[in-house]
Amino acid sequence: MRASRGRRGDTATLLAALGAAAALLAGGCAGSLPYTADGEITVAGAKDTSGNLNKLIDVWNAAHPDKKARYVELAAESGLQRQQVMQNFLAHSPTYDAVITDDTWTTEFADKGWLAPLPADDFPPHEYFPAAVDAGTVGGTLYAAPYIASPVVLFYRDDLVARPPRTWSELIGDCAIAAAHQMGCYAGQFASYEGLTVNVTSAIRSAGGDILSVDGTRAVVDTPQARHGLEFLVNGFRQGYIPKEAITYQEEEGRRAFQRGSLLFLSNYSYVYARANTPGPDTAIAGKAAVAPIPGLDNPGVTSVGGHMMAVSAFSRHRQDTIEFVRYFTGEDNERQLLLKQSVAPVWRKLYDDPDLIKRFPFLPTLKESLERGRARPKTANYSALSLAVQTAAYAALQGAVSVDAALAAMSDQIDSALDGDR
Amino acid sequence: MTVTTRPDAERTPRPTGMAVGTGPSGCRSAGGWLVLPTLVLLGLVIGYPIVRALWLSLHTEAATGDRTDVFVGLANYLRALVGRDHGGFWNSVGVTVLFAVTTVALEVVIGTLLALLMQRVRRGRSLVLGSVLVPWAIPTAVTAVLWKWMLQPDGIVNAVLGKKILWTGSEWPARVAIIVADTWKTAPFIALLVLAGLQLVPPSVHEAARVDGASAAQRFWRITLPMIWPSLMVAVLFRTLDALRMYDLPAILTEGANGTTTLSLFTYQAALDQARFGYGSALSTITFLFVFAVAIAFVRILSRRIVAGAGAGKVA
Repeated sequence: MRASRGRRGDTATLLAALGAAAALLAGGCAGSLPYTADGEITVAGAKDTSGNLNKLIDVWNAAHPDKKARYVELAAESGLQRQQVMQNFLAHSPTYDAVITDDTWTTEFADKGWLAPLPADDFPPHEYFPAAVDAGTVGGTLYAAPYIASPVVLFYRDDLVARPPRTWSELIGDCAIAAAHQMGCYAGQFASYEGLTVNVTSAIRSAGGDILSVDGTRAVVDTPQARHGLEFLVNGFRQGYIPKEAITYQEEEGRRAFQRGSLLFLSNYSYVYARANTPGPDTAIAGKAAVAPIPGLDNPGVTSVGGHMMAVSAFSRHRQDTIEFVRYFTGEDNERQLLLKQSVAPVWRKLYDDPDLIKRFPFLPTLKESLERGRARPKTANYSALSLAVQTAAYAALQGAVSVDAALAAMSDQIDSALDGDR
Repeated sequence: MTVTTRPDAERTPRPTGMAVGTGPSGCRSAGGWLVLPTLVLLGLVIGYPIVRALWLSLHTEAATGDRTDVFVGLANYLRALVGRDHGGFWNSVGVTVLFAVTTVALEVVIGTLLALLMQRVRRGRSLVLGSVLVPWAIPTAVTAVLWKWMLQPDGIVNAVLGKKILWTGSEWPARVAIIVADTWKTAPFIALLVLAGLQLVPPSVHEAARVDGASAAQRFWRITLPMIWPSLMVAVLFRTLDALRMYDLPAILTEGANGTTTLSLFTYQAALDQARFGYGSALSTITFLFVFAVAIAFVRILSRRIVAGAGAGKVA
């Protein structure tokens, strides 16, 4: 009798303990996943450093008290953001209604059925740059709304160069000016990472070639055009118009070299403009950095338009409201604020013709020219593997370890292997 | 360390954790029940991920993005070991072993020297202790960023050396950079454990040796080293296992370029960058087994030596 009562007591204690443990676990989960009140639109994206995103959301919430939105900050680094978003999608979680994505994620996410299609009427394609629409389109359907454009442009020293080079041979000709001033001539992003993929892609396209076939199913880098493109970079290191240390450059290393005054030309994202020209201790060239479209083989080059998109989750419980919110968030008025408040390039074409904005940002017409000619990075559901293939092969050629032809053959094999159905 | 004490034959029998309700007294039974929540919790946080990873490693994800996994048997393992990724895989194994051997060897030598220094120094000891331990207190990711800055083409390292080495621009400089950064960061860890071992060496033994006319070198090799051997080996074991899982330094310093892709970085690229969770789980399982095998081998070989080493210490 006593024993059985004791046993029952034990069981009760055990259940209580298990309950407490379960509560602890559940608590832990609730803490790590943002709680979504029903009817609230949750928007996930990078850290709101300018505070502008939350202001935009406040405006929306004031006008739509019945469908309020909330901004959730993801990790600071893009790779970690991707993981967080993917984990939610893999679990078919409705936690994030809208997600600010890197443009290269679109194909993969849409292929996996994680994104809701966006009606073309709400996002009229001709209002945006072609590259931005292309980056959001998979199989003819728009899955991600263009949000921020991020073109690579050529920065040059307008105190030393009268007219920016339109072609590679003009650029190489101008290198005599760099030599006369004991400075490096040209640099981009040549360390082995995503930035190298962007530079190589852009060089190959600027010579008339491409990375992937039009249908995106196989590599097309084994062509004379692709060879010309890669050769421009490889010869740069061999002949010295690209300084040796540029093999270690990511965006920031190149920017610092340019701002120190040790580079004549720099391919980089548009953010460099403000940094280089704002007088301060970290720039020796304030007021002397100008912008031009990147040069190409025979014509101005084809830049890589990176950027951010805004996608709606296929698992959202309020899809229509979210689409409406995305239209507001990426709308023309807010894109204007984006430029004014956050100094990032909008995707709406007509803003680049606005006289008031041009007065404030004199480089807008140049940026527009780049964006109109630019193209999205190669579109594939396995972009990470493709990027790794491009950068690894190209890097070996830049180091002089393998010939350009061997590098392109290896690149072609590796890309095809990455695209292979057997993931 | 406790490793040196021989297990006592007459030790009380170990309490049987899972003996729920089978014990002779109600008291024992209650103990079993009380332990159960802990076991369940441990099972959840340790057992489940391991079992789940093993299960995942035998599957591949459906292309549709639904979590309907497809059973593929050992295909993921074969792909890494002998299949289309075997080049990259074995390369990363080689890189990992290279880093583990070189960094641990350097760290043992430098760490021991640091420990001797910390023990000898009379004045400003806390200052020495503090400055030696600073690198260990800095998170690895921060260490990597610090070294990345110092190793820039126009950075302080090149300025001090008076050379222009592109540290992250070609194979051996990049590897040397990672080895140096890792040694800088973790030699203090070895120093700390060795210092603890040094505290256990009775000064009388040294005095006796000195009276007998033993030179400083003889005293180090014959007395100090055998007596700190157990703590040194524990430090080496910890460091080796850590080094075999090295991820942060190459991830931040080189992103795996120039022959610095370690096994963990290779796994990360497959599992998370490319979202191949099945294949990634197979790679982590291989890493786990590899590290586990090294640990077992280490303990087997060294526990014998540790006992012998402690014996030698006593004899001296």
